[in-house]
Amino acid sequence: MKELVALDGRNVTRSHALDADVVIVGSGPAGASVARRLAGRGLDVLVLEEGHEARPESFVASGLTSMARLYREMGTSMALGNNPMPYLQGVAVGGTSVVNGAISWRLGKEVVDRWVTADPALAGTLDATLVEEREREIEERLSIAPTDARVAGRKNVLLAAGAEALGIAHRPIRRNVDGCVGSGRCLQGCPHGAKLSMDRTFLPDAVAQGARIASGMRVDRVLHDGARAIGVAGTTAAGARFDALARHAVVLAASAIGTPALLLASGLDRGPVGRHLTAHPGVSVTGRFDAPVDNQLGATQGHEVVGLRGEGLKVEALGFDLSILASRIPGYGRALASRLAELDRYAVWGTALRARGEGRVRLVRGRTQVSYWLHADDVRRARRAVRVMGDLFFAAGATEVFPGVQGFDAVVTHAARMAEIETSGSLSPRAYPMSMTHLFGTARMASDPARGVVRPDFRHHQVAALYVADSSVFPTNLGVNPQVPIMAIASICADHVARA
Amino acid sequence: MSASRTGALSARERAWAEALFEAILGPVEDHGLPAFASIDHAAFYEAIDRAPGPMFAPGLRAMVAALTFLPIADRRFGRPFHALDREARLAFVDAIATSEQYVARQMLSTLKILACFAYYEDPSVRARSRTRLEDGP
Repeated sequence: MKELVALDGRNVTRSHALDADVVIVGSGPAGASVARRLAGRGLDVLVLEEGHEARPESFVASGLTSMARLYREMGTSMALGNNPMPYLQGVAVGGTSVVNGAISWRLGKEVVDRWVTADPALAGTLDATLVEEREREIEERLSIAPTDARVAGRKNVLLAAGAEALGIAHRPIRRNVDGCVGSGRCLQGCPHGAKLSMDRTFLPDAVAQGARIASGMRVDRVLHDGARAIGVAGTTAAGARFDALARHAVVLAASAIGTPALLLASGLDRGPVGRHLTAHPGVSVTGRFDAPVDNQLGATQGHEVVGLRGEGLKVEALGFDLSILASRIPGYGRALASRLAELDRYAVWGTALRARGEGRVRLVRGRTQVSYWLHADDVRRARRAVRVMGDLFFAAGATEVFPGVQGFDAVVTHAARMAEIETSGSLSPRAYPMSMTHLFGTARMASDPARGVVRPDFRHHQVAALYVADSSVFPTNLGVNPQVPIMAIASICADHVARA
Repeated sequence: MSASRTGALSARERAWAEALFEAILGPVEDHGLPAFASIDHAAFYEAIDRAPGPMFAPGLRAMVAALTFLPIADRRFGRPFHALDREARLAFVDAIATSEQYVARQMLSTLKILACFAYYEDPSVRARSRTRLEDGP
């Protein structure tokens, strides 16, 4: 079997030149999908990845060490705005798929229909039947299936019990795993190699068909003459400059943050580049049970409550390392110390909000700056989510719930009080500690160059041979976890690249 | 104590940060867990010195300095945080936690995350946490 990485930028100490038919920037779900499909068509494909190859035997339980090794800026990247919130991105061969919860949803015909209704020119590209066909193929390759009850663990079982008691639809989360033993370490990298992340699936598939992966290669601009892209340039992890020339096309798959930043750094600022950042902000609540939960064990995210999706809410169990779980336990000083002594009793559940808020990615003095502004409806939705999660906790048998909402009770001990948050809870965005997940729209697809950055065939509106394959092109957020839709749409992008 | 800085924090700033972390976590040793001061923080500092983005270190220094010197302006305390006795440190942390000032609360909650990272990075803490550590549900 071929080595996954053909060139490690840590060893490239002198200026270096590479070339290929297609140069892909980013090796996450989008880049890997494009690489796999184009390599399968016989094109000479080069994937450039800023991070390094990370193998299961190197993954550790520690949240801090994992974040330092595998997350951009150790997970300290922040979106500024009316409620500053962190956003997490993986930096490794395989991108965020190495450190996500393996949650796998289909795009949903209603989302595709909405996009096409808003811009009928997209119909030729984003055909719902084609998207579904690609998603089926992805599901098969990635062994996507509902979480096995034998590896679910208590936190997932309790969420199911709470939802069942309240009569809200729920189900085991469908995940891309094979041989999961419920170690609860998806977010630190699976130590058993059971998560079928891109570095274990699509990238080896691409390499087997001739694609090359270069890791430790940070791309900082697209090389172009204003009319056509000819390659990219960047710096290796050892500090040397490199160029990678593309005979056929450059494909950007560097995420909804990295892709617009790269376009802006390359002087490609026409159209709404970096604007219309949409997301699924997440809000979480902690609950305490009298019996052990061992929140860090069992499938990291193995169960979800889907019955409130009509309200834009999707509740999931969250598994964390002990350090992160401890930071989610309320209080300081003596109160915290006594709770840390019973860390096994706590569970954290989170809700992803289908938000109306928008943000922006810009370059400020050469640095990427992200801002995001929650809409007033999103704050109401967050407040509703906190109440719902409180109800679920009490229905599951929790003795205490910690809403974490500024101005409301730090500790709630009965459901009746929890319900009052919906009338008396703050509507200030900053009252709700949140994190930003699932980012979209910063180089969105539209037939009108004033409204989009790429055309319906994924090609940049102004620059030939330049394509965007990642969630930057999505016209809106999805309301579901996006990794499978990203892969499906990126594979359609690959078809357009091949045809060009 | 040297004020030289080779990483995110100088030796002096590390001492200030550790005083804050210890008070944030509270008297864990009273509950059978290792005392914060007794554990090795080398792995924690190695991670924060190497990995975060360019804004992390200045932000962390600013937060540590602000919370270290904020007690001086409060008549109940009147000294830098590290010069307070244990009870006063715990009282100050409680006061900030319930403060009306969003920025002050945010600084404290950010340091709480770091305190937990620093604490649970030590294998002896993990080993003595009353929770299962082996793989599997």
